[in-house]
Amino acid sequence: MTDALLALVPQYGAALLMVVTFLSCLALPVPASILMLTGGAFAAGGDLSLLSVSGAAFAGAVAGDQAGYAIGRFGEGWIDRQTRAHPRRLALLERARAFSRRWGGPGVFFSRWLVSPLGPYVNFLSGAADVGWRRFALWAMAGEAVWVGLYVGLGYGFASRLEAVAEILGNVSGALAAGLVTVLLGLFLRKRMREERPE
Amino acid sequence: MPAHTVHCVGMRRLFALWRRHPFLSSAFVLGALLTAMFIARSVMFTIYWSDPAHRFQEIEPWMPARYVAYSWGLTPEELAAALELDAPPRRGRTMGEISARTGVPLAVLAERIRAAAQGREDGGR
Repeated sequence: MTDALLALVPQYGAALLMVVTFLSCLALPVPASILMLTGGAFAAGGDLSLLSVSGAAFAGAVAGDQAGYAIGRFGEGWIDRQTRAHPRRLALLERARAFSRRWGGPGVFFSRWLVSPLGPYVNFLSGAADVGWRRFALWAMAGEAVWVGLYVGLGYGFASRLEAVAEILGNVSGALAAGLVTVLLGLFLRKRMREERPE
Repeated sequence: MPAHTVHCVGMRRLFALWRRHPFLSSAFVLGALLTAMFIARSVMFTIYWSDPAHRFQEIEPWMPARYVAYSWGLTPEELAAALELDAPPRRGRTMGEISARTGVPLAVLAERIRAAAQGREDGGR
């Protein structure tokens, strides 16, 4: 699928990037990172304009974040109904909410680019946990600027080594995201153990 | 306490933990495995692409001709000359399209580009 999408980049350039970054913010499996690298590389070759590539990717990502946040916001009532009768689920939800409110800002920022595979879920959670809209929007925009700048910039700078950059970066980003989830799960497990077995 | 007893106590506690939190501990183990896999793949690809033999990437049909020229250190005019085109390819024109228009297979076009890049490098020395 990626090759077919890549074939569309010279033709639809900026518009395609906007659609793909938008969808990637909603947890849809589209190769947004690879397309941004490719857009940057094609800009280096003079096939696309660097400004329109970056601008379109940024606009799509910002709009996608807002859509994800809105979905979380509207989903909140449904989640509440699902958890009302289950004290354990409710407790878990409350923890998630407290966690989001506390770490909301930096969490949104770093989940845009450093651990970007987690980004869409942070969007839904931020909406559902009532992280204030202004706070969410500002941190999300700052983070998306870094995400787009990083990937389009690397594509531009390493244009002739596109495949190498895409493969290395894809795996490093996967390792960071999986590593963070593992550490958080480990901390949570340890906390549970201590609560259950006071020594 | 002998070492093997410590080991057994540790194992028993781990097992108890897994029984009490099957979902959480499975997710933790899965996460750790995934992390290890991604780290291994990052290292593997870094080693692979550091090899000078893999310096140049294959020319694919989806690549725009100007991008290919840039990657191989050629100007669009030099690329046009190498591919026997009348004029430099317009922006966004892909290698696949050039192959279809000229009726020359992509592999042949790629070979001509490689030769032109090689010639430029030799000429520069």
